[in-house]
Amino acid sequence: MDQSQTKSLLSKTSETETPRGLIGLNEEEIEIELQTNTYAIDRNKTVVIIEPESIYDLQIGTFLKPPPLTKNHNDPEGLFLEDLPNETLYKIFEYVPIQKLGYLSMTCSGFDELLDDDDFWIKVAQFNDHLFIWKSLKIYSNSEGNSSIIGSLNDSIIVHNNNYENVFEKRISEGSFTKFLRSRSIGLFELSEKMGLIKKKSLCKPHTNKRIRVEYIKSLLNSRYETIERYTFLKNACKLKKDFYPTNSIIV
Amino acid sequence: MTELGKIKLVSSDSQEFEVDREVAAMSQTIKNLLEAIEDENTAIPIENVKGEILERVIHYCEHHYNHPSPKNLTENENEYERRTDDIEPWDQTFCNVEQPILFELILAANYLDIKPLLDVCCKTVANLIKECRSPEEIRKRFKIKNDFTKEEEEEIRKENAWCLDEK
Repeated sequence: MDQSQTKSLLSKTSETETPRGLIGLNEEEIEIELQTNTYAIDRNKTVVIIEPESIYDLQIGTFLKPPPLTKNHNDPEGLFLEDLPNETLYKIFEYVPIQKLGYLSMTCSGFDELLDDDDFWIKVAQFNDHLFIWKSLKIYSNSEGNSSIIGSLNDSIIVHNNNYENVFEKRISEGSFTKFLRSRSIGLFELSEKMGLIKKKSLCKPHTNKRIRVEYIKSLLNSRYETIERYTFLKNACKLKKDFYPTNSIIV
Repeated sequence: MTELGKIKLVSSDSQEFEVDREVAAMSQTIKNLLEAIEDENTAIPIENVKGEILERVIHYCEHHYNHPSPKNLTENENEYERRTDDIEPWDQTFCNVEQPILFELILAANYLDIKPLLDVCCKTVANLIKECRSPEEIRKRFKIKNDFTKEEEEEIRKENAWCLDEK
């Protein structure tokens, strides 16, 4: 639907109907709105703004040309991996082992930036059957009732074995979460070798009996005590692996 | 006028495809549309998908409609388990296409909201990445242009030393 069609449809709506998104605008403002947004007339003959991502979610009575799906790329050779929207790339990356994601970030600045996203890594970590990584500061008591601190006042990585014993700690002095994640892999690989908990090759295979848990603490100075958000995140993480925390864990 | 139980899909390059309504409804996007459209004979424009790709998508849907998988990858798969070695032989053949087509299929599957197709295509690309043994190999395979300066590349190699050590 082009602008003139939209306008024409707009004029067909009766005055008693409320043109959502255009309330209180004068003619000039409506003109600007029409230039900057895509409008459609829904089945109730009401003007609605069509969000690009929801173009087919709305119960619209007419079809609009949706925005292009790819990033700008008009190469005659066709579509490239980089042209895929980030959402789709992340979906692919969820299936890629972290080592290869490291490779990917070394291929070009686009992928390096794309993979420098904490949320993505957290999601990947959640999907990984071997290691669960999240940002948190936790103080809990172990099965013997002794308090254990996961994390510290500086950025650090704590690795637990299957008995929730702190078996490894690696401090990182600087860098973003992603950089940490990269560095934590050194820790994991080193650890796996040193402790013989898991073999290198099994790191990316599901359902190994020996699991290593990793926790990451970022900027802990002001987060000694849990915020609701962090607590919720931990709860969700615990849902993934219900056996992670001993039943008498105390979250401070 | 479309046959009873069939609908018409129109690709971005104006190619028309008559498809069983139930087959088309494997796309959640089309399914939602079908519920919204009153006139059964309305041709549905699939604006972002070329005819060549839409034809493949329909082929995929028809096959899986007629040969339902014993397990639905999306529904039954353990959500924590991200396997890529469970692609069915038919799907493997289906996805054995040139990269630009595979990427177009991913976009189409995402746009049309056909989860099993999106999953299988993503897994195929992931497998292509997994086969690469170095960043250079990934660049070569996916025709990625190295846009790092020398200094940047050195820096990024340092940052990623951990993965280079783990060959």
